[in-house]
Amino acid sequence: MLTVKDLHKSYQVGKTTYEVLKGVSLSVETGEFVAVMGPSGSGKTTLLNCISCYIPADAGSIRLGEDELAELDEDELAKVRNQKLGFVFQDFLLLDGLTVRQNILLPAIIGGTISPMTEERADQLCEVFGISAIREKYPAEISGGEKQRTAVARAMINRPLLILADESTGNLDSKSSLAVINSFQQARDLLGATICMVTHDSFAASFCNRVVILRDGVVWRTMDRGEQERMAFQDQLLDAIREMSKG
Amino acid sequence: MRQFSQVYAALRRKNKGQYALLALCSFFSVLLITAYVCMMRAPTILSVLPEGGDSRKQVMMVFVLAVIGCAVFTTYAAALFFRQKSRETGVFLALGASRGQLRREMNKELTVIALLSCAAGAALGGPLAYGVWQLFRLFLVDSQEMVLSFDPQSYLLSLAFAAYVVVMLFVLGSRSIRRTNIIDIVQESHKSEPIREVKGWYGTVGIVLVVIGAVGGYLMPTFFVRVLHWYAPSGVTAIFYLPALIGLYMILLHTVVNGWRKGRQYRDIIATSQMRFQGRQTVRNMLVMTLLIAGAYFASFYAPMLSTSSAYSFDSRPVDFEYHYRNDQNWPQREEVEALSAEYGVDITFWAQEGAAVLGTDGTVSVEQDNGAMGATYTVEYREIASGATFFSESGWNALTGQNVEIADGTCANVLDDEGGSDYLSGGDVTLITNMVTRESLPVTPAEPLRFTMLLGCYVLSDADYAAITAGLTDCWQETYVFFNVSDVESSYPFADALFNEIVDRSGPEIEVFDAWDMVERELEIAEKGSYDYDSKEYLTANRLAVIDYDQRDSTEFRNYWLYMPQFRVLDQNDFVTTMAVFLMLFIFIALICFAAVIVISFTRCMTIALTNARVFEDLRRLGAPNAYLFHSVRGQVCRVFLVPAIVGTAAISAFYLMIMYFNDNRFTPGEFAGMGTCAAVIALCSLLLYAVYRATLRQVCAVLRVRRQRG
Repeated sequence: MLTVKDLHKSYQVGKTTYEVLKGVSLSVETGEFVAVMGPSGSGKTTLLNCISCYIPADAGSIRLGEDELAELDEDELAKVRNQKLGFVFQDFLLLDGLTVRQNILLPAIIGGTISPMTEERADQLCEVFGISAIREKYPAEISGGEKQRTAVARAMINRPLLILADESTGNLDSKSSLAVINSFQQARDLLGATICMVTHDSFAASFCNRVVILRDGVVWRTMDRGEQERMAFQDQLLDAIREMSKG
Repeated sequence: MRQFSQVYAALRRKNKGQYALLALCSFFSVLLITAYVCMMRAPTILSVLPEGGDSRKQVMMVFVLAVIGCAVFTTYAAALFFRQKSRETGVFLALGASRGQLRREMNKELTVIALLSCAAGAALGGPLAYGVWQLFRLFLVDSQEMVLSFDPQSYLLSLAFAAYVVVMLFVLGSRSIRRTNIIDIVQESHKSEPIREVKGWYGTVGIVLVVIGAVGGYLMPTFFVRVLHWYAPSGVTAIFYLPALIGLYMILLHTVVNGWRKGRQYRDIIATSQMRFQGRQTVRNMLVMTLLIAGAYFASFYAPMLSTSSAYSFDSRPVDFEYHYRNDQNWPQREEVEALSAEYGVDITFWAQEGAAVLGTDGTVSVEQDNGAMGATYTVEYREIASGATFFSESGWNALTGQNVEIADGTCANVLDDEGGSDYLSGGDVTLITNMVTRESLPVTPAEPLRFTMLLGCYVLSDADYAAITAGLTDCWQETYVFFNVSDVESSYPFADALFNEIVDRSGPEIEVFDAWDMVERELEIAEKGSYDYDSKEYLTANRLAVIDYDQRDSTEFRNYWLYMPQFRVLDQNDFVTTMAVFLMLFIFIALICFAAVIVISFTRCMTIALTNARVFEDLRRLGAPNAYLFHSVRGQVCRVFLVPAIVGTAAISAFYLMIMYFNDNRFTPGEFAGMGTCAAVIALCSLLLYAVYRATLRQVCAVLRVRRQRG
């Protein structure tokens, strides 16, 4: 469903060029919950930004469903972001002037697809993520965990092909983190969502089906959880991270 | 909520403060500029600001400052608005909104904000100027020439500024959406304004450049005229002030970034480092504030300087009443004046009356050559008869002035003013005198100059020489000078006014002339080309020179420029404010506008700093910083925004003003000292006003940052 092939991306800072992605390839299948891990500077957020169509890649291919992103013009990319992708940002990026329900409906309003059915779906998402009681509140009036669950619900409103999450548990305490991970699991299990999450947190990653570990701009290792227990998978991830640190 | 426009409306309601600030800044800047333009271009004002004159240049200079100031703070308010909105824009783009979609919504908002605020500012600017002027007339001073009328064309300048505001808003708005990198937009609000490294020598070099610019800018025009014989265009002379502007910027940069007191670097670390991050924009704002404060003071000094030095000169006159007339005029004689004084109950205690003669004098004349855009050059030619001057005999002089001078035969003494402050107005030494009726000439050598301000520019000959050279003069070449005192000057105003009106009523059309009108030059010019330019009202009007009209006897032009204007102490003292009303009010108005702009800029800048630093103060609070420390840091920043421009602006303009006064005659006269005292009082008063605004702003900033205010 998502196929990334030989992706390259570099940044120019002054006279120095930093090559952040040096040929990343990965794929995410429908219904998967994939984590992208790696140390700081490994290129995981850059990879996510390229997939999100926020920044153009220098070379390589990103195919989302039927669309080759590099071939789309700006308006088509906007449509992809609106219809085929859902986003969950690290600092939520909820609009303070809109209520929780209005924030959830925002992608549908932007896409012009809002209908009574969409509004009903928003209410269903509130039910699923346990935020029905706060749906008329403003972001300033709710907790960090509630904000993040609102963000997950917003990402789901247009039934996207893929939800992209960037360090979505980074700003949360362990209880709220767990609530957000549960939200992702519910989204996958109950609503059939496909999720790609960037994280440096092995606890969060251990809930995923598959973890892609980046190092120095390339895929260093891909680890499948398979049928093993979450804690065992987390230990396996921690061992891998230790191994990577040793060089 | 189903439409994207409804989302925008909801966000607008939530962020109405941001919209209000932008609209207010746009409205305020257009309002100020419109009011200024209406005032500056009003026929009433233009009539008293001679074309090419210093007053008009000063008004234009301050206008340019006001335009720059208003443009800067409006642009900054707009940039701040879009920066605050960038998060929304980024979220919309991230969630799949197209740029076109966003542009449409933003354009709708901007159209309403820009058009309404600019239209309101432009519409109310005229009434504001008119209203302020009427208030001046009502509460301060009124005169027949103060009836204000507006030139509709002045609105073109106002519309041009409004157009700038509208275009600037749309360009900045479009630019904020056009960014290709959504990540940048999302993170825009976390960006700071880094400042380039500022070397330690910036402050010192800045001061040197300010001095070079001020001295160069002031002296170069004199150098051009005296040495190069070149009347340079104002644009050329203005270039020499440029180092002063660059110097000011360097001083402010050094003050903001490096500070002057190294020992306090760590104590003020938060205020200093936060200002660094706000650097570029803050320094630009502070530079504009500095220039506006300097402009405001420059305008503010006009009224006290003029009134104090004038009051001093009125008080220091040796006689209460002086008038002089051509002998072919039917002016009131002694008996008539005494009769009029008796009618008004005024007791005349001293009377002196002496004859004088208008004779031709030799000297140099400037022959100008117009070089178009490059100004004009001139050559100097000696002429045996160059212009005219009034001559007294030694005995006549002594009788009139009470002095006891002796003038040797064959010599001629030039009369200078008592203090030496206006020597440049005197004609200088002459070596050849000519009777314009008989064409007899008398070679003379310059004698020691005499001092008598009321007769500045006249000459004194020995009795024998005077009798010889004035023989055969007709009445129109002879004058009578009258000096008299009264017992109670204060109560003699009605008499003085009646006498003044009697004099004007009895003056013939041949002396309805301004003070540059010269009978000798007229003779020469008529002989050469058949007419004298200064006889033609059309010529005078076209060249923006004073046109004397007996029906406008209370106007500034008449009182200041009539060649035969009497000098009645009580009349001048009482009518001074009325006579100079237009000037005084115009400069007060300019000062008000400049100070208003300074207050708005400083307030918005400080509030911006507060908003930008909110997170830093929250972190400091979490780190356990006591309230006293937080307050010290807040005050450090707010104080710097107010204090630095106030000190630099005040110091710069004071030094510049002192320089102007000193270089007028290479000394300070007692009148100038008195004026400086009044200016110091104006500075104290305005500083108090700025301090009050500073306190109010500090209170507001503390409220935003949730920091309690403390004493000390």
